[in-house]
Amino acid sequence: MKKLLPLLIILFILGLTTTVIYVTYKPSRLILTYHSISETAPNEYYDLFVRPGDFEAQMAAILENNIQTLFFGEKDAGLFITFDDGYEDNYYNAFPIIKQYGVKVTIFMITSLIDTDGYLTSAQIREMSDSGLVSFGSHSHTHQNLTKIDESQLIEEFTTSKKTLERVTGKHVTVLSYPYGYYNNKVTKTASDFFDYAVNTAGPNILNSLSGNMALPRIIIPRNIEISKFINKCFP
Amino acid sequence: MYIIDFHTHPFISEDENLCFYDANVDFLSDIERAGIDKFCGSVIKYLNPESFDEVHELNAHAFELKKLYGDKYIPGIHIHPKFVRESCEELSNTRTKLIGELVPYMMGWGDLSYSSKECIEIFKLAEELGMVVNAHPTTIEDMEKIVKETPKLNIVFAHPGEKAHYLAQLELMEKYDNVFLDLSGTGLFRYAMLAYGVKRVGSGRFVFGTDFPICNAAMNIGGVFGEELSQKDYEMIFHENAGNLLGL
Repeated sequence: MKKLLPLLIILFILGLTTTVIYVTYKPSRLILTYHSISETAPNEYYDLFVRPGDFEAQMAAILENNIQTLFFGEKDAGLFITFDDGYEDNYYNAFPIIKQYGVKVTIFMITSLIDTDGYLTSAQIREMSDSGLVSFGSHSHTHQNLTKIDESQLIEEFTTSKKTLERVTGKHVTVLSYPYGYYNNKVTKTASDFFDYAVNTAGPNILNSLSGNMALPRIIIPRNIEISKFINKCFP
Repeated sequence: MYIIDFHTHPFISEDENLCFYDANVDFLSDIERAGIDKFCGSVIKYLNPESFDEVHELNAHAFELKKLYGDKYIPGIHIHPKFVRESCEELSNTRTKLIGELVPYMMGWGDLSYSSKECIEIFKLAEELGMVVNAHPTTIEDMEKIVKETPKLNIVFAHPGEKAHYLAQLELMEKYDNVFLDLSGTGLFRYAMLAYGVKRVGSGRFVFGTDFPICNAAMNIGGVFGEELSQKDYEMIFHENAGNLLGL
């Protein structure tokens, strides 16, 4: 037993260290949220737009500062640029800038709105996806509060949105954005059967940290943010 | 009776849900169950912002909720006197007419009151833009300065409060035409409070509000109906005044 004691101590320390690392390790993952990229509000939800000139300056700052942009599933740490809803101005105003600066972005599409007025068309989605710079994720099919629907409706929302996007893009869809940022344990559990990652609307809170990859916090980029503050956000 | 609740705080994340108890608040169904048809207000939480971004996030959440609630909800946005330029930019671009409820003590305004030069600058723009402010009360002196500085800006102070504060607010309402009072929070449980106020300043100066989910919405509806008022008074308080202020 005496001979084994040093070994037991080493194993104990290693076990403890591993536990501490496991509990405290948080990858540095920063997820930015945009909605519409336009000079004026695309509809009555005024607050959810950033002007193209500002968006371009922000993408230029990312490039100048050698910040690597990522798709979900590539790496845990890094900068993720996301858009919610799938407004058509993402194609007309954001996509040219995305191509110019070579940044990777993920657009969370409300799939029932594909090919409807003001939203992305199937052809635009395909072209953006084929560029290799735009990945598409689900923002559900009908943009309901997912905490208020039953299990079968939840499954329908996830299945339809995922299948629709996979049919249009020909690519596997692995990430979800919760409509309005509403989720609960039931929603995250069901979502995890369909997606590897899910993003939230708000910043970090207790539930985020308990939900792992299925409630990743995001930061909303305000329309009037100064570029220095934007860089500070990307390099906290 | 069609009821517009001028003062609510819808929420997305749990830290924005200020219900005092660990209740599973279902905002829309709970407020509709109380009998309310349309509701207004800002998303709030305790903040001490280092930049306007944190304030903006609450405004963005209000507009996310507008997508969810549609015509039932009139979003109220925040401004912040620590960030005058950003606040003015926010006002210049908004499509909503409502600012607030502003809650200086929660939102880290620090020493900057309504009558600070920073806040006056923002309120002057709001005045130009024809907006309406729903403001949590501070001192009567502070409140009087801001209503005097912005005579064309309609300011709806929140909460009647206890007797001394309420009487002082009524005096302000008598002196200044641009002062209104929303009936949320403390006040209505004191019987005849509202009838007394209507007698002094008229029913055109009160708007119905609840502060839901901090306060019980149904109780405030009962509080108004429990006061001896005319049918026309009820209509004005429950929806006409709010409709006129917000151009609905």
